[in-house]
Amino acid sequence: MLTKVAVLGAGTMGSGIAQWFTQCGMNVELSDNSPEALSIALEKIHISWDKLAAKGKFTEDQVKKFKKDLTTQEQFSKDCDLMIEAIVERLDVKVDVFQKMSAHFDEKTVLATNTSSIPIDAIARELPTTRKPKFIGLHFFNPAPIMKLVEVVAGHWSDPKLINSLGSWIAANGKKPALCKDGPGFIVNRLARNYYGEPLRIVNNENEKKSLEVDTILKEVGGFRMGPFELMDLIGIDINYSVTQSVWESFYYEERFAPHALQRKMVTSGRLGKKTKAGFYEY
Amino acid sequence: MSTNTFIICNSDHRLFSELTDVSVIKEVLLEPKAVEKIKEADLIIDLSMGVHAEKEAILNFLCNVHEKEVISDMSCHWGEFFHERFPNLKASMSAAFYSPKNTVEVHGELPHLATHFLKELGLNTLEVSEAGHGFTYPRTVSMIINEAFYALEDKLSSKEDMDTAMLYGVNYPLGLFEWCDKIGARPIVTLLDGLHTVTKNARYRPAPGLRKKAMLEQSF
Repeated sequence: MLTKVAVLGAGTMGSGIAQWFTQCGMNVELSDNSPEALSIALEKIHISWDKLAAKGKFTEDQVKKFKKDLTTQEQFSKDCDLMIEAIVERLDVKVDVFQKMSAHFDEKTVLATNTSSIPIDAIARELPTTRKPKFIGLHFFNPAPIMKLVEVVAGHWSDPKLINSLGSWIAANGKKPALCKDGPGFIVNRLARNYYGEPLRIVNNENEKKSLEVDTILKEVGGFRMGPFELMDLIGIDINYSVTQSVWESFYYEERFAPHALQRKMVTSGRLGKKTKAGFYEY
Repeated sequence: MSTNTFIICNSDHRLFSELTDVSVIKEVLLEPKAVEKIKEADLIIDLSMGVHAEKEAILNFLCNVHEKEVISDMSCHWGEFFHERFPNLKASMSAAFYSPKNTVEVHGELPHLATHFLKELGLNTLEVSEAGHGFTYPRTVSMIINEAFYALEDKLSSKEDMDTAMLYGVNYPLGLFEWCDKIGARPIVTLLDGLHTVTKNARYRPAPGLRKKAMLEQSF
């Protein structure tokens, strides 16, 4: 079904997605508006493959083939089967990019966005009628070459057969597809909201000792890999707060998704988690 | 199990089928003939379920008849309230909710007999500083399971795909629908209803699909 894949955006997600498709045997073209970012991404991917070969995960011949199959391009080939966009989370920028891509690629090319927060239909509505059935969401999780899940998101106009066949292709290539409709936060970012929201209400005030207790309980009783407070510190309290706000607004301020005052307090004071060396814990 | 420990449990509790000791009342019918046995016991372990008023009535009975130590399962209930209301409630725990790690939250001083009782059932204990309302794990997992039922009603995705998403996207130990089957919908709805009653916050309203599942469990 797929032989040639284009990936737009050479940041963490784009380069991870490009790496995975290459490992699946695809010819992959990676592009970015910054030549410097593109060259850094390619170097990082090559280093990753060399490390994986050293660990015995791939043979040297396989890595040689991967390096040949992944190329960087200023402009994509028109005959790609799939193009995935992983650029900045801004609707206006994405719409502009997809309108250009729609005009550039052959009719057969499936266009996909890796967005985690922008409605698929908000982009699709701006595309030509003939392209709309071939526009979908493919939401990978970080790090993309390792994390198994891909949310395959069907917008209002997406062809259901395309959604099913892409889901099957993803499963056949070792990942776990979860098919869903276009809705705020899709599956994971919606269902996981109260893994943060409820512990924030249990702790209620800034209290490192209590946060640590809640993290310990949810790991030792609930079996979660990480506690909510250490996880928010890792993700970035500002990013987590922003996703919560976005889902809450999308659901017309439904109480189940309401952010907590403690999140805003942390963000306002610049304590954003590990990246600022201070969050719910000190680092 | 020591004959000095008296356990009260009803069929809603997940440990019901595992209690075989003769000193166990397996349906909570506190008839006069139970009074003597309760009076003689060194320790009472209350594993009754039910809504707030039912829990209060049972604890009222037990704490009036029995002057020594009472331990109660507060997985679905307002532990803080009951500890203040019944001073001889020695400790509370969260044993009604299936734990992937076979561990139970415990608040207060858990007597040796009670620890032994839980150990015999393969359960470890984790001491926590507050009984809160439903303890931390039951309350958090109930909220994320509840959202999965709302998403199902919105036809966002199938149960299977949503379980896949949480297992492989955020490494949860179980998919949320599978998790709900392990816990049972009834304890989750009892806990959420209790939180809704106390806080009057709409965030705790159970999804209709979750409530239906709980009602069907009851009918069964």
